[in-house]
Amino acid sequence: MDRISTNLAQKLGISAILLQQANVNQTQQQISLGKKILTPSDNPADSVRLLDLNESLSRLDQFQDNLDFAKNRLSLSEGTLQAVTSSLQRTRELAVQGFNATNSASDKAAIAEEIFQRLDEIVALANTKDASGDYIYSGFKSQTQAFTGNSDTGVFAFQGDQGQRLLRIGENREISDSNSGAEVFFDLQDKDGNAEDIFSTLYNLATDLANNRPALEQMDITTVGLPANTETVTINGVTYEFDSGGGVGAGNVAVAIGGSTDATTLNLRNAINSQQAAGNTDATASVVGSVLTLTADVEGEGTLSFSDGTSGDLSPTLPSIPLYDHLEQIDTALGRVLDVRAQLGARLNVIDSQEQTNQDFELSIKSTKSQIEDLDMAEAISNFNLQIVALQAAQQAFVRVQNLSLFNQL
Amino acid sequence: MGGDLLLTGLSGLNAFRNVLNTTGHNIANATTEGYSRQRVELDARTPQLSGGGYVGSGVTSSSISRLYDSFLATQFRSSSSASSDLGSYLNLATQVDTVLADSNVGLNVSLQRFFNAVQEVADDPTSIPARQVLLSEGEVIQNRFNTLDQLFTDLTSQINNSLDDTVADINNFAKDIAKLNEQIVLATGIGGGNPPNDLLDQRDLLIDGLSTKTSVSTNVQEDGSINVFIGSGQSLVLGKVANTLATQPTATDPEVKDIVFVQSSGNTVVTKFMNGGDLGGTLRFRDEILDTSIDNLGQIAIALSAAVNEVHTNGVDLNGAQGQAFFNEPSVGVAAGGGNLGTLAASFDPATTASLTGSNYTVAVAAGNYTITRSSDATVVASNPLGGGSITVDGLNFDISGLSNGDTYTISPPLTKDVASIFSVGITDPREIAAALPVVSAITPSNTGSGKLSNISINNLSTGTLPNTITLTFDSGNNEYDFSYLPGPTTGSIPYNASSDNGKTGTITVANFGEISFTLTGVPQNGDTITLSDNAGGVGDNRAANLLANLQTSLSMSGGTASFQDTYGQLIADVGRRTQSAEANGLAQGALLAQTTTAKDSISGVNLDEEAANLIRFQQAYQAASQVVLTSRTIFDTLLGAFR
Repeated sequence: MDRISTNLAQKLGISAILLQQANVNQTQQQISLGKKILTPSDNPADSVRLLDLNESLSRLDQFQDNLDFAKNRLSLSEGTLQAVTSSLQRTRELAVQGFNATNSASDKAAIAEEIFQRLDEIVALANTKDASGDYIYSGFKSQTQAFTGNSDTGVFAFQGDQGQRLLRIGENREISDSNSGAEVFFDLQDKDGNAEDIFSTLYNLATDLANNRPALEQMDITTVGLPANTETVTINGVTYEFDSGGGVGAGNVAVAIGGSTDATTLNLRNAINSQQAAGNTDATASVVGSVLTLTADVEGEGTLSFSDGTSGDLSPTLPSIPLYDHLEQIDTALGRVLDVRAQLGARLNVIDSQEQTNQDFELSIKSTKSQIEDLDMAEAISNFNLQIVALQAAQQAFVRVQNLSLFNQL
Repeated sequence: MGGDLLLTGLSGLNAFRNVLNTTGHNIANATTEGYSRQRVELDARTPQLSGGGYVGSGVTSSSISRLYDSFLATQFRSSSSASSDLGSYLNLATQVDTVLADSNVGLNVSLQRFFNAVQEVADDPTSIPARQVLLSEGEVIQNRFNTLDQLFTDLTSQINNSLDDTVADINNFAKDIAKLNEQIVLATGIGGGNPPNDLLDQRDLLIDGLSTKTSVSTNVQEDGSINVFIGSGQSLVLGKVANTLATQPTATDPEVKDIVFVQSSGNTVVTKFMNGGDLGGTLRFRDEILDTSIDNLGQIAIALSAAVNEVHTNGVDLNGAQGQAFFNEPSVGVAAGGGNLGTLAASFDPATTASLTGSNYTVAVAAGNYTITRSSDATVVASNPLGGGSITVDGLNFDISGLSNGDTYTISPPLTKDVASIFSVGITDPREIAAALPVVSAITPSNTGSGKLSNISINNLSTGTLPNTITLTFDSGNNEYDFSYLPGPTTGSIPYNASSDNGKTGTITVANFGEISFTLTGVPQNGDTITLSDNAGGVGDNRAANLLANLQTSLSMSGGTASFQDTYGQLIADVGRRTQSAEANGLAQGALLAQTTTAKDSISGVNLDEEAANLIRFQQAYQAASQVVLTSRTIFDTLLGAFR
């Protein structure tokens, strides 16, 4: 352009200054906020990525919250079960001590008393509440007391349910923050597969001790079929021979085969009890239906012996001592509690590793975010200085050019 | 001969006075907007034939013309239209751009906080403070929707005002141009064909001004008048006649204005023909950003309330009652015709809100067929034989199971753009937040197998209490779970083969309660039982809250491709992109405009240095011409002296 109007020259000078001012202003805002992106239009793609990253960060924060909740509850549960474990172990020691035949009735009563105390302690532990006042072993019914019953009533009930709360601790990870009390304390089985719970076990143990119940070995023999003639069974050194009227071998005690298993069982009982009365054997029998219960006359283990010659018509269950059964039941309960504690430990480990994962993730998001939105201060400030210099230059140039006029020379 | 020299000198004096006058005029108008510098055209006068040949007889100023390039003027106007178009577009778009992503006004942060609060409730369902926070966050969302809607309503009225103003400006320009046309024709005639330069400048300036309002094209007539067309060829000025534009509410929405041409035969709507200038930019913003944003916001409101309510009403609250609607859902109006025997229910389909048309629909049933007609364009959108279930059309869900022959219905969904303004939280008591599910399962401890039941979910819940416990008993002979429940009593079975069905979903529908779905896993043994019972007292249950929290990332919008936050993010990105491109195009267009202005100005603009030089030059010429007169006198005196 070889010719330019005076008016336009001035306008161009001013708009150059305005442009520089706008640049300075934008850079100044960026510097004062430390951000590259001031509005989405500065960089739409990046600003939406920022939204996504912020969402992820916020979710991670929330996961940390959830994780803390889960961790607190699981730790509380772990602490509670630790107390339960030591209490059960103490009870077990007491039980072993209590079986000692040298204890007097009052010694046993004293031991029973402590077991009752321990029972109440464990019931109280099973009814532990968390910081928000929720029972931790009640399942979803968290404001319903988990267990009722105590050493006075001897009747125990679980009032919660099997519900397990899941907390989200990672983008694709949920973890249960509790165990149902039914699983921990209640849904146990004894060696015969009958339902049993920790509280009843302790209660029965303590009651038996308090009643000075002896540690006698017991055995159940069920008559499942009618034994054939001349078949024998040997109990504690005496051989009983089943007889349909043909007489028995020398030294054998005759047991008449009755019309039914019940009748035959009854005959066997009578035979055993008469041998016991005669001092030939040290076991006493009692019968319910076709189940015959043998009880040793002397305390201790291995006091009952049984040898079956009826080709399976009689079905014995292993000898047991009720007091020892209680002990075994305590071991089962301890095993269950330890199982659950192992589970809790595993979950706490998962939580720890998830926490680590979340933190790694958070760090990587934060660094990505910083790359997108954070201003390179060194660059921005040097730009800023440059822009200020440019602005000053534009202003000075404007003033100098404005002073140039031929009229000044006329 | 001497007389000729005097006349020649005189002609120079006259001509240079004209030139000096014009230079003065140029200097005086150096800063007058729209002024084109003028130039005196000097011509040598016709020579006189004498014995020695043709002798020159001086100079004459044949005309005074302005230096003006109509091609550059047209280019300038189109640049100026485009530049103000982008300017007003950017001006409006920036308002939306800055607000949408603002953490204090935008929806994204509040959505995030809402779902975080849901998780807090899931962490501790019995905590009233956590529930209170969730309720407050719900109110924050309500507030955000209302605020954004208010912003958009304000923008709509701002646009209406700006359209009114622009149309008034255009009308004034048109009137003034028509008046100048008249004067120019007159002045040209009087001046014997000499152009009335300053009037032409004034008219061009008006047309330049008009070009910032809308795009302009012109057509110069032989008599000197100019015809002006705007938009895509609508004639605004024809000679001395100016047409009038006006605004009027659109046929579909009284709050939105159309541009019309006022004609004696009635107004013609020309909104869609208007482009360029403030008018074009404003209309384009309304089309591209405002309407999209309003619709998008409404769609999020519809989808969010529907999805949250769906979960919430299938849960039970802290009082053990069925959850109510968490957000007041915009309801679709259904008006039944007289004499209807059946029933029809209609609701928004959250996944396909993008297909909403804003139209009303009619449903008619005849001869075992039902027909759904869209009222806006009288198109039949669905026509099928009667049957159970429901059909989704244009983002609306029609429950057609209750239709009966002869029925007619009118369906009037609220406009998407109105939804955000009425968005609100439906519950007030924190205990009313439904964090639990109404059913709880229990696996009988004495089961010998490992069969399990998990992931219970509830649909179509009608009451918070399951009337009776349902026991599922495994039957290994038929590989199925048998169940029976009251009321009824109803019995049924769910086939389950442990070897192939692990993870299978079973569903039991309980009359007057709802539909219970669950996942079956493990290897059950014959006679194993699992019970489903009412979750009475289950205040620690957080399953419904977990389901609510899952909504945050579930792809429930845009036909199952986007979450709520995704959809909102897309809106932000869309507006951001449009703003960015307007900004970039604005810069480019600005540069183009500056260039065109410079080009135009380099021809028409006054350069004071040049004028100063001209002053000196023509002053000298004038002085020389006076010397010619003086010389002529001296010659004459010399001649007279010779006779003395």
